[in-house]
Amino acid sequence: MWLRNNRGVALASTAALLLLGGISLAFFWVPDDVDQGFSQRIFYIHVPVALTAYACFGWGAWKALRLLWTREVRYDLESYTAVHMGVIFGILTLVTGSIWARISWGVWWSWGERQLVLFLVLFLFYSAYFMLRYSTEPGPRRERMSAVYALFGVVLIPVSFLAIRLAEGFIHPTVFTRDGPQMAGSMFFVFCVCLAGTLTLAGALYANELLGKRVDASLRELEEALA
Amino acid sequence: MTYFGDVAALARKDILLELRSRDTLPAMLLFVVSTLVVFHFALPSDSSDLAAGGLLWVAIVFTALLGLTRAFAAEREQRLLDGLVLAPCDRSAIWLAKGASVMAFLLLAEAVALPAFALFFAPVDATLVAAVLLADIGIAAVGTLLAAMAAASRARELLLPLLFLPLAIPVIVGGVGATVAEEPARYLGFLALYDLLFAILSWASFEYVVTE
Amino acid sequence: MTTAEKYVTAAYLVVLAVVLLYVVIYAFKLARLEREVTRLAKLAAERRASGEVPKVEAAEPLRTAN
Repeated sequence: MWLRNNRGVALASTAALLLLGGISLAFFWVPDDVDQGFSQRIFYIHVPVALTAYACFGWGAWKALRLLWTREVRYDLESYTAVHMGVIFGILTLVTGSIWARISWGVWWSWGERQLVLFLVLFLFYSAYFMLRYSTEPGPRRERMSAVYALFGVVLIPVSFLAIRLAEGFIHPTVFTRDGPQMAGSMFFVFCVCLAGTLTLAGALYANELLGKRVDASLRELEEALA
Repeated sequence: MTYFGDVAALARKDILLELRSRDTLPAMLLFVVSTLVVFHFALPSDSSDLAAGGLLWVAIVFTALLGLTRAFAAEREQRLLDGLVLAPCDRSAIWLAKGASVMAFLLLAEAVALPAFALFFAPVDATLVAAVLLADIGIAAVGTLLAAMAAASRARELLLPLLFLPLAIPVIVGGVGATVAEEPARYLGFLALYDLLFAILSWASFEYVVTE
Repeated sequence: MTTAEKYVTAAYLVVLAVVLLYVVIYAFKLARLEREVTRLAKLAAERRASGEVPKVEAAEPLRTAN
C-alpha cells in the first residue's frame, strides 16, 4: 500500500482523524468539570500540547546524544528539527495557558502557574539554541555544540521545574491546582485521544520539516559542486 | 603530568596572565560596586531589605557574565585554543582550569561586593556566604562551557548572555531563596544539586565543544 | 455563547491558526527551494551545452543546512 512508503502522509492523516475526533469529544461529549464548568475543556488541548513539547525536546536530546555517540551527521538535522517542533508546541502551550489563566483568574499571565513559567524559561532557552546555530559556521563543531546545548535542555527541564516550585515559597504563597484530585474515566479517555492526536501531529510536522531541511542541505551541496 | 597537575598549570597560566594584563578583574570589581549603587537608586526608599537581597543576586550574575565574556578572550585573540586542544592533556582539564580561574575572579569580586552590600543595604550572614559560594560553583561550571561555545560563534559577546541567563534562573532562585526564606537549608541543597548535575554534564561535554 | 465558551473556542482556534501559519511558512520555504532547483538545473544545462561535464562528486554527508 502506498501509505507504507509515505510516512508523512500516514502520520498527517492519522493526526487529523485523532485531533478532529478528540476535539469533537472535548466539546460535545465529555461532561462539564464539577468545579470549573465549561472552561475546564481547554485542558484537552493545553496539556497534550505541553506534553508533546516535552516529547519533542526529549526526542531532540536523544538525537543529540546519538550524534555525540556515533558522530553520524544525520542526527544533527534530526535533533535540530525536533527542537524546532518543540519550540512551536512550546509557543502553543504558552498561548493556550495564557488563555486559561485569563478564564480562571482574569489575568493573562500568572507567575503562580508552574507549567506556564517553566515554558517561558524553556522558550528563552531554546530560542538561544537557534541563535547559537545561526551565528556559528556550519561544520562538525556546530553540530556538537548544538547537541551539547540540546542535552543541557533536558537537564534544565526538571531542574527549572524544581526551581519554580521552590520559588513559589517566597514569591507566590498560594498554590493553584487545576485538575481536581480525580479525573473521571470519560475525561481521561478524551485526554488520551487528544494527546495521541498532538503527538502524531508533531510526528507529521517533524517528518515534513526534516525532509525540507534535508532537501535544503542537499541543494547547498549541489550548488557547491556546480559552482 | 597528572590530571590535576595539568589543571593547576593551566589555571596558574590564566591567573598570571590576568595579573600581568589586568584586563578583567578591575572591570569586574568596579562593575559590581557600580551596580549596587545603581540599585540603591533603582529601589524606592521604603522597599524592604528582601528586595535588596534579590538585587544582590542580579549583581552577582551580571558580574559573572562580565568575567565570562572575557574568559576565552586571550585564547581567541592569540588563536591559542586550537593549540591548547592539541596539547597532550585531557580536554576537560582545560574546562576545570578555566572554571577555577573564573571562580577565583568571581570570588574576588564578591569579596568586594558582599562588604559593600552589607555597608549599603543589609547585613550579610553565613547562609548568604554559603549560598554565594555554592552559586559560584554552578555559575563557573556552566558559564565556562557556554563561554567556550560563544567564543566559537560570530556573535560572541552578544550570544553568551542569551545562552547563559536561562540556565542561571535556577541559580537565582536558589540564591534568592537562601537569602530571604525562613528555612534556607532546602535552597542551599537545591544549589548543591544544581552544581553537581551541571558540573558533571559540563565536565563530560566540554571536549565536544572545543574540538574542531 | 458564554465568556468561558468563547475563550475555550479561542484556545482551540489558536492551535489551528498556528498550524496553518506553519503551513504558510512551509509554502514559502518550498517556493524558495523550487526556485533554487530551477536555478541549479539551468546552471547544469548551461554547463552541458558548453561541453563541460559538471563534476558532481559522490554526495558528501549533509552538514550545511541551517
